[in-house]
Amino acid sequence: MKQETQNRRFLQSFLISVTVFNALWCGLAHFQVGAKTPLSAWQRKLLDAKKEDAARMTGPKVIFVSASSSLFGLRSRLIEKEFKVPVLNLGLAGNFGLEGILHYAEQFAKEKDTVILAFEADFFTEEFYKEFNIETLDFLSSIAPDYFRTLSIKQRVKAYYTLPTWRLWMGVKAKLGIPIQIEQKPGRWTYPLDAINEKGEVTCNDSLSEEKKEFKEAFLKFSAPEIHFRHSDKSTPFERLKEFIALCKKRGVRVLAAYAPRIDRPEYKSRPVLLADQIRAFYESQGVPVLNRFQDELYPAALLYDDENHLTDEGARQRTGRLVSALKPYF
Amino acid sequence: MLFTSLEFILIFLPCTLLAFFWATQAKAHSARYCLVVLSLTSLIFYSYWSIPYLGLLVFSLSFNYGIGLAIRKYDSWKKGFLYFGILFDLGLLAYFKYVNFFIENFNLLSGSQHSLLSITLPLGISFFTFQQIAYRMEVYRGNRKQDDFLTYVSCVTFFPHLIAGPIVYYAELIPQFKKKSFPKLPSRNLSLGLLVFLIGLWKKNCADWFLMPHANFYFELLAQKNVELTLVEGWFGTLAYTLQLYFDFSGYCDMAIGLGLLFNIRLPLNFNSPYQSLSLREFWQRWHMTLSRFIRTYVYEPLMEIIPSRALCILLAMTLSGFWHGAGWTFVAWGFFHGVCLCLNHILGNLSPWVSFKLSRPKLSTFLSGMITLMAVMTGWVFFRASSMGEALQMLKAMYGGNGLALPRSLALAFPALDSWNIPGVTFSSMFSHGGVANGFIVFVFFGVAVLLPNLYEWLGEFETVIEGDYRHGKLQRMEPVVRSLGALSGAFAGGLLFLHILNYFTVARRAFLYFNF
Repeated sequence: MKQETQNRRFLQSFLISVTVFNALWCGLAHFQVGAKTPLSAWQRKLLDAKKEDAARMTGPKVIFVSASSSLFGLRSRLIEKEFKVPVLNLGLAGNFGLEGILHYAEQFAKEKDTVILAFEADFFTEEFYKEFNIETLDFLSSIAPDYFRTLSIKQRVKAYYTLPTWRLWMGVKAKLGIPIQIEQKPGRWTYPLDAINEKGEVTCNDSLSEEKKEFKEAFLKFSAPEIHFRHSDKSTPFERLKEFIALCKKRGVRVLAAYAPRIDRPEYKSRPVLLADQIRAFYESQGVPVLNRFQDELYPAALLYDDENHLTDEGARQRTGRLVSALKPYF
Repeated sequence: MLFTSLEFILIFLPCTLLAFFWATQAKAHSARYCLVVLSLTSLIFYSYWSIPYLGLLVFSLSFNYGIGLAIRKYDSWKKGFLYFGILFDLGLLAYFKYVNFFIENFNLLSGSQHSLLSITLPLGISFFTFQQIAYRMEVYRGNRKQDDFLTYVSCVTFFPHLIAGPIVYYAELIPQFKKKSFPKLPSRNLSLGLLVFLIGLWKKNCADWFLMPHANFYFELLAQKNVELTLVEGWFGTLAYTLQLYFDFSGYCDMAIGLGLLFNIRLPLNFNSPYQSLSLREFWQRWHMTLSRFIRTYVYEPLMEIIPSRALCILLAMTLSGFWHGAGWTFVAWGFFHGVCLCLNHILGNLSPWVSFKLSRPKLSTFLSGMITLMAVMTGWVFFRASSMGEALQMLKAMYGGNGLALPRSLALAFPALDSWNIPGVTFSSMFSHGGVANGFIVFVFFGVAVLLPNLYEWLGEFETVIEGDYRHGKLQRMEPVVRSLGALSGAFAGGLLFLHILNYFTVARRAFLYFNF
């Protein structure tokens, strides 16, 4: 009898503790959603700048929907000057993910607008789509709580459990208004807060600091093999883009596509670039004209800043010039 | 489906337990229902990995059961049926596991260019093949009657031991499946099994998080050109792998034993603090104990009947055991190395009455014996882990001083006299380390746990409960159980372990158990 009681107690306390611990964790994670953590200050400022820019625009506009390749590699003022139409550079940090970026694109795209999809090749892979890192999480729960709340329960729960303990406490403290001090170490993805212009574009990419030089050396050695492989046409990114294009068409929004800039590596000419071909075929199957060729968007290392998709200021000007030429038939 | 996956822990296991619980409640034929539940869920468990290979498993079960029936029925032909069955099983294993090894070596010897076959190794094939050979041998020797098909299937496919053991004797397993009824849940074994399973889960987590990065770092360096590890780096990398393998595989076995207990099935222990052994002989009585006894019963003892030399039998049995682990010369070398060491161990053991190796101080003697044994075991693991013989020899060269000894520069700064002595082969430079030298400290913590602390079953004081029949493994310290009863506190502890596992599940890279490769 005694053993039966002990056994029951073990099982009861096991079930209770599992439930309580998990509920507590999810509760805290849910509580801190929307807390303005210092970790995400740069990304928040970036998004705010783009939101403010969008709010200033009246009439039909052009929206560049992309990740950091357009954040670094586009000078939207030059396009505005050429075509006399407002241009919203919705190039966000890659960690916002395809879903996060499309979420904002859906908010901003209105009738008679032109959307230019210029995603980097890795955005078309299932692995990248599903990647959940700390920046993504911070974006989800801190910068874009409105978007976070639109996620399914399963996705939200996954996000809660992916939060590291230190980030959870940071969020809880920020929510409670407790001051947080974090040491901002110079890193690959760290940029000065004031290096964002009124169009939400990075402006510090005209000179390389010593740290950035190291990063550049590292990425020059690194090769990105995903471009050489064909990926499933049924993968989530392709399906999600299909949905987005259909929504744009329904709203009367014109959709164009462009390849993102990329470092020029010899293997891009010597080996087939199957994913690049697949991307073109995908857009064409959706009735979306593609403005340029993959090979047109390859840049020498000297025009790259701190990543294989991040152009320098000079690179950004060159790329914008090419896009202006490609866009002429449409404006 | 991995035991560590949330699909297994949160969906498969609770559903199976509920179905099993329902079966135990049946008024009539409760035990049969239990077996049906266990067989079906085990087949579902296997099919989660590959549905086509489920067909292979079912075929293998039916074939071997049929052979068993034939052995019982046709007495004059029974030897023929036995050999036919064994040859067929080994042929199947050879096809899936060894054919590419043979093609590679044939190409090498003959200079031909036969292309390798594209074959996926069926999960657990080495284990379920051996299990069935053992069963048939028992039937052949008349040690057991042919059991009914349901009992046979549930014993062979019982999911806790299907993929990577422990390798059971049917004498200890089948009686547990042939009970008239299974104890109703919740039983004491449910609590104990849960606790053992979760502790095993954490051993596996620790192997992945703390030990694997260090081991991989050093062994992957071997593949790079112009990199030469030195003595300390070589031993440290090998130590990390030595511990990773132990925590990984013993964690898996704890999980299997724990899962067995959830269904009131006691599986034999497979590890008994092997790194605390004082000789290599003792090591093999404590490491992968169920494989050791299988090799002893079904390889070594039959060999002894035809080959008069004990040393040769040991060498052959150990080399075969190495080959069973993997189709590669590194595994063969590992088995052969252990065979040689075991022979030496026997010779020294026989000489000991005349040449006393026992020092006047027993503690020093114990320390030296333990250290020499561990060094031999670690030397063997180099073959086990290295991708090629070349890499293994490179690592051994580093470990045994062939590349000199590099010590941290900080040591020379702290003790300038060291540098001024100019000891040959010793240099002070920056050392290869994963995440800094201080980060490697954690490896020594696990080393202390493996070498100095009692094992899980000693802590629980439950050693006797998970061992069946007359089989006793190695030496086990009997100690007062730390956990005297499984009450509310241990339940909360187990709950905490599961919560932490869920929490870390999404952030840490998952790795399959190392023994799934064999």
